[in-house]
Amino acid sequence: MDRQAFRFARAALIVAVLAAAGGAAPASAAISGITGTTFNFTARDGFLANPDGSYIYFWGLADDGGTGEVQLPGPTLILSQGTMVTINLTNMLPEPVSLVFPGQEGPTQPVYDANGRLRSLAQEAAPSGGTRTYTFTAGAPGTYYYQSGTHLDKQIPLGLYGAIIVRPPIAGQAYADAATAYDREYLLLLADLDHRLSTAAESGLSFDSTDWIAGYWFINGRSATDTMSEDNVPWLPNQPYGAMVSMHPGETILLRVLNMGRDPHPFHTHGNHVLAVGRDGRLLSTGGAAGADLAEFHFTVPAGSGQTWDGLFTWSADNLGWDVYGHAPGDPMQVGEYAPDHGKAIPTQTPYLTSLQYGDLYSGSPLLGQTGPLPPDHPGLNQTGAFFYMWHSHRENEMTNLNDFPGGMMTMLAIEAPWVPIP
Amino acid sequence: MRLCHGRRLRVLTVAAVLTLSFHGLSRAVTYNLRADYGSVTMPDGRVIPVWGFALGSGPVTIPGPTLEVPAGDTTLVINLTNNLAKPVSLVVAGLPATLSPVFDSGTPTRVVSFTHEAAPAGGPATYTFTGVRPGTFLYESGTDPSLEVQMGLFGAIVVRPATAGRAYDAPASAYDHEVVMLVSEIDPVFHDTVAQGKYAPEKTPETALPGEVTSTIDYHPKYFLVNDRPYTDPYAPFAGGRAGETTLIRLINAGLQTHSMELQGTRMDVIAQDGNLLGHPRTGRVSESLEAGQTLDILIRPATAGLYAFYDRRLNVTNAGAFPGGILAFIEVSPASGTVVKAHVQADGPARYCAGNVRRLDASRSTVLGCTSTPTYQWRLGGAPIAAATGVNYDVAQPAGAYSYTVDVTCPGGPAVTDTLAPPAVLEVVADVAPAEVTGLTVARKEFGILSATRDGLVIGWSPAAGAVSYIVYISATPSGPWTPYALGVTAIPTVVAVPSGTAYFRVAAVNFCGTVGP
Repeated sequence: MDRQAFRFARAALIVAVLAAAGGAAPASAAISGITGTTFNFTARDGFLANPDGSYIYFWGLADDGGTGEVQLPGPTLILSQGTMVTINLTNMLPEPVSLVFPGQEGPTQPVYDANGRLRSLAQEAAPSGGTRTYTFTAGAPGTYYYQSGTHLDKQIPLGLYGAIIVRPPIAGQAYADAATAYDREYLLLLADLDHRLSTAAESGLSFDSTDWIAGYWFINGRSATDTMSEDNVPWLPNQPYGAMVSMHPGETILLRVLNMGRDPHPFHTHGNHVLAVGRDGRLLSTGGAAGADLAEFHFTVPAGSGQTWDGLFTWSADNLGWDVYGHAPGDPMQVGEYAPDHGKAIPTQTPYLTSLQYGDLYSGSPLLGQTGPLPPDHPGLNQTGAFFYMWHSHRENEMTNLNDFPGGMMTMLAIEAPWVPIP
Repeated sequence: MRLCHGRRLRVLTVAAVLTLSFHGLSRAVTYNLRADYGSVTMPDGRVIPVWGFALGSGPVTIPGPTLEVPAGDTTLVINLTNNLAKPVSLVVAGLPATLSPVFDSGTPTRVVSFTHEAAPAGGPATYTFTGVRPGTFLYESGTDPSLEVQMGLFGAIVVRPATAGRAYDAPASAYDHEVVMLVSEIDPVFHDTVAQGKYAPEKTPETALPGEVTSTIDYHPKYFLVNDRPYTDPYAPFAGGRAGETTLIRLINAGLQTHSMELQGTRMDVIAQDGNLLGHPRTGRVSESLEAGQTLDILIRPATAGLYAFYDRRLNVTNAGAFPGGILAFIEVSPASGTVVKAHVQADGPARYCAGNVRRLDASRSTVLGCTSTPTYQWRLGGAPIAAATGVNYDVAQPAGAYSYTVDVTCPGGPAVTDTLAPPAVLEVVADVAPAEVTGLTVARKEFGILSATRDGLVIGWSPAAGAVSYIVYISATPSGPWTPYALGVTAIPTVVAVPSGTAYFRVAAVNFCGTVGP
């Protein structure tokens, strides 16, 4: 394989920016999840593979209709509004577990032990093979979640949670309002973990959750830099969901940000601000035909625990002052191009190659969608000339894996040239 | 200990010492508060020394009494007496007042209080808030607040608008029922340290003696309260009226941490923040952040009868790590129509307690709706009716053992409706058996710091004694006593104590669950 062919072979891996290697399918711009009306879940234990080389014990849910692998987060349920949902839960864990569905209508059904002590916020599946069926009707459109209703301070942080997406009847919108239309959508499920809880649970010991100090932070169940690997990569069998975000200039993407952790995770986007249009499955609106008139811009989405934020994000090289495509005046416009800068040259002269320090994500060209010469030892990770922006927890210490930077709650946005296909 | 909710709030208005003085159209309401020492017992039996507020000569409560400013009153006057050995003051974020900061006599001077103080051992001082406006507020000490607020000197203020049944004057703030939920946190080590006189802010961690705490930087709460207690069984839910009705939740955070309040099964409309009506309510929230010192007014309208769990999604739902506990509450919604009787009981202390004590079971928070007569009560032990136990309260004075109590609540006459408490209130009475003698005592001197000898400590170790929940380290100048306590409430073995001067002898005794000290 000559170098050029090798580079093209790796082009499919462009979204695996810092991943070591692999040949899996590219990340999907759709949210990975499962659809339907009846789901069969098994709660069991497993190990998370972390980029720092550690393996962390966790409790998760497996989709028995799919791979059957226990996963973090649990399978994402993608539902149509009004769907009557049935979840059959089998519990292979050593203690009772249950599921609750915050944001869905209906009172709590607490369970008490023989001594009159509250044990659970929902009927449980007994340990070691017990089953329990849960039903609910997918209510208003938006981003929701499920989580354990038993021994909350232990079972939720250990991993018994997952996202629920309820879609309105109109495709391509977050809500039944045209102001929430999008071209692509991404789920960013934020979570945290004190690994001492995991160690204690693995050994069957108790952990005083008031001593909680998180040391690992996840997006979609992965810590950076694994967040940037594709969905379903074979080396992360229990963490199937990637968190890489890709888009073309001029597109609008919908970000479904939800915080399943214990701590607040203010989520910071580089590249542009996020227009929050929904909270907890409610259009930010004064109501009626007013549209998303209470939408608000954030460069830090203040995602508190248990909150979901639906936000729109656009990028079109606005106000850079130069043409990211390197057009000459009179060239045709690209789709989504920022017109006022059309034909304006980049206001700098590229230094001699020997004077440059090459980042791993530099394509060899400052122009979008173009590549250029790179030194022989460069990893060549950016084969499509994409622009990359880091997205991360704005609590900067959360960009670590047990205090090692970079890691934790961090991923990348890739702006791809219009001619580069995003699956 | 008192839970403040709708009914109690109205009772308090009547019971409070009210001085109504008329100045044209505006009036003033006056409360006489006392800052004093007290204690609260956590569900696991741990006794927390607190500093708190009380009405008049009444008992200290955590939080302090909810102060209600009735409709039409625009001035709030609080007369504060102070039985503490530290100065105390009173501030209310959001209510207008003229503040007179107090400075110490150092060079340069430092502010020690946001406003004028009630002097130790008496006071008094008067705090006047004029032009008060409707809303939910938090009062707290403005003196050395990192110490005094954490110790318990805080409470809720509810200012009512002209129109009854509204949180503000706006029609959109109308409600059928209201509850006050004031959340707070307790770091038991800090409270013990302060109570034992080992809070030493004038020192640094390098110069502090073993056992001393120099700041609240290492704040580490283990208990999380909603009003006067963490979640504990038996539990009486907050009253949320009938299905389809609107309940106002006045949510206040007197703690130091951000809580994320999540409501299951129905949505929250946040209509006001910090006593300010929002121009546009934040509708349909599932989980809402409640910052330290913040107040939120929330309306809920559950459509279906049942219990609605409301808890801190940051999972502070334990009592020192034991689930369930902490900031976890239930709101009960009753069927839309008909006579409703639902038995609820709460106890005046932990369900596990020491023989020789009396535990009062209280059924006054049972739900009784649409009943035209006075409800009656019949208490039962193990299912069998207890003779003459027909009051709203029942005092349990039992020897060691486990006891399962229920109560029938009945609406007599008309369509008789009876409900029996379920699950039962299970009390565990623990025998007071003296703990075993402590053996295997070791003492070693160890240098902990590099700055001075004051950082030296004595590491005292011993073998755990049967029946012990904590230990007392005694000191004496002779091998035969007299012995005086040198470290109290010790739970870590070994423990580190300060190096005494001269020759010293140590003895360690175990303390059992009942507080009985062993040999």
